[in-house]
Amino acid sequence: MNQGLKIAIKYSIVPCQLGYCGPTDEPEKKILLEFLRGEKIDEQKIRQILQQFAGTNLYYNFIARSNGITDPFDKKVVEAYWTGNELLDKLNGAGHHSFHVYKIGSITGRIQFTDNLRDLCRIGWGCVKKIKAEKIIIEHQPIIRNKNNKLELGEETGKIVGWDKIILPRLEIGNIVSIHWDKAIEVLEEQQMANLKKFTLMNIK
Amino acid sequence: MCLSLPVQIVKINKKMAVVKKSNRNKTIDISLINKLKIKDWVLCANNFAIRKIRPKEAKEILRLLKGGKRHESRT
Repeated sequence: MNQGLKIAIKYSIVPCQLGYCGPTDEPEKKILLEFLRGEKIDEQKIRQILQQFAGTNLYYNFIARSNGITDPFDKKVVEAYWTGNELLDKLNGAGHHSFHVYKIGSITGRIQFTDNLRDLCRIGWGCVKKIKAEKIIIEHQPIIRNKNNKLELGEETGKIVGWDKIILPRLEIGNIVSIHWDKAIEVLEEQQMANLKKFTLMNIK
Repeated sequence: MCLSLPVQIVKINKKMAVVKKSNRNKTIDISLINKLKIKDWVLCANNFAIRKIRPKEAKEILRLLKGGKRHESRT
């Protein structure tokens, strides 16, 4: 299975299921989930469906072109967008998902987003403390406003998020997971967590 | 992308609509989407309806926005 396509689906499927982006056609959403489950589906079909995520595709193409990579769904490109990696170093974090959430929305100054909406939309992270069927409890730092009205990572607090085993088949207590719209997405290795934190902090300034 | 809020249409006047948002009404531009009707839910950004969504999707987004479920950590 093409890992870049898999990561792209894992992060995009939750806002897609909320109606925000990507295909509105239920059979096409089902195809994406079937691909995650490991069912044999033509990758070209998956690429065609993923191209309906107009916003993310702009970023994938931007990151790929900036790094001389031909395939916008290359694993490193997709990872750069969602959790961050060295491909963003020359872009000063501009291609990261948090850039879109915290910088682009604010550019005109006309769009007022609540901090809560942006905290849900960004890729957060947390340590798994308890697992209970389709919910998990994580220790998580929300992004809050400090007394100088600046955004920063708040104190660690417990948070309940959803666990969809199609998106994330296996999980253990002590794992660090990424979260998107209050759903656990993938288990992060130490470097991945460090990258996600680094680029998030860069873009909330 | 995700940076928009669900609102419900209560009145339509040509290319504009009155929508309900947080118990208040406001007027938005619906010219980007065809065939909208009263009671439809749309995602609204910068006072434009940018996408029609299902009631179930709207309600789930609003539920998530009302506040993430906090858990008192014992650690």
